[in-house]
Amino acid sequence: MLDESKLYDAFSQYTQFVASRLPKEEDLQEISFSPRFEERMERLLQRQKRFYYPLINTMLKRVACIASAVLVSGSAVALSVYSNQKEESYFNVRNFSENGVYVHFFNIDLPYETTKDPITPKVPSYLPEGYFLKEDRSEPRKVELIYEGEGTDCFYYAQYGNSSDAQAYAEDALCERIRVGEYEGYLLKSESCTHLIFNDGEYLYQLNGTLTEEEMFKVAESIQ
Amino acid sequence: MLSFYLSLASLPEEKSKIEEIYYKYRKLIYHIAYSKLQKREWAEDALHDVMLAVISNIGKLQQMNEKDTKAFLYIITRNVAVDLLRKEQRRVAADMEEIPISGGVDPQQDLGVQVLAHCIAQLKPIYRDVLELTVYYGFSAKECASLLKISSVTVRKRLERARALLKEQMKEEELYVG
Repeated sequence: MLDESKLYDAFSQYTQFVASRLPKEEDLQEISFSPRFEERMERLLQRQKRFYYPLINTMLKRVACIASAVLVSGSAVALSVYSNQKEESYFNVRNFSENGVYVHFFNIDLPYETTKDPITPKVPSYLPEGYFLKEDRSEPRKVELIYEGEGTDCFYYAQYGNSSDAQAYAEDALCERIRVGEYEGYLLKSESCTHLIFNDGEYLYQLNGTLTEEEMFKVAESIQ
Repeated sequence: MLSFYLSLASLPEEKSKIEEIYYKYRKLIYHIAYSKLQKREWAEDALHDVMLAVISNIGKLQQMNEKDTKAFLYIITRNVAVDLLRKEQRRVAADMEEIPISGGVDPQQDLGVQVLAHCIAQLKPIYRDVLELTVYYGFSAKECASLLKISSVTVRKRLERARALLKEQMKEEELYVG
């Protein structure tokens, strides 16, 4: 039987030696990365700036939270949706990248950050079978919850003050306008991920994960 | 390129640690990768993949000192390079490198630890890496599997084999040392 503490000490000694044998950064010649590589990193930067990236990267193993924008022609890249007179916000779908689609939802009718007051938290009252709340990352002006199901199933829920915006990026996904109850929004779906964003006139809500479309709507409609 | 990596971390201190690691070790990672892959494109891909692994494990990396971080990055980079070569369907040498432990023995460590360290250096990298990541760096088998792009079952099997090999080698070394 190996003595674990000695094994640990032995590895400490070994790593010490390995580290000492590796060249120092200052001794290595300067590297000029290829423009393609730099560009690739920049594109990935935009996509992975999203606050929900840790969820899709770590929990869903590269499940890309998708957005498939409607194709736009030439110079016109925006697709606007006007809600009825009761609702005071709409969504724009815009910004496309080479390898996928980048969709930006925002509210342009309300002043940006009109208040610093905490929001009234609203959470889904319905959870699909087997799901539980795994992590709560909420802040005074944002509700951010991560739910886990079986295996790698999970979904992310967020609620923001109405002056916030939400963004999504996807490849090979479909985008459609939808309604959650009486409120308009967008549904973005691909083979592996579904993304739902809607606005109830007071707050912006976002759901994304491996739920089916039907389950996603059930969760969204249960928010209270 | 750095801003991409920063965005993956969730806390400000994690982002600054990632920045620190990136600026401090990017040439080293590239150098290690290039020495294995001999192709600029592949080495860049390897650097990208290593940084993804760094970000995914930034919590543990924050607790590491410099020498541990360097050795950890060396393990990950080497394995990423192996993985890339496999994908290119090229034959990979069973032992891509060996840094001999001799000459680096710490006289302050007891003899048993020194012998064990020597035996660790003799292990094949595929066995040594899983043992080092789990025993020394504290990764779970699942985390290890994710880092090395192998299954958890493979990790467990290699751990068993690594420990068995170490025991055999220890017996031989102790007999030799007397």
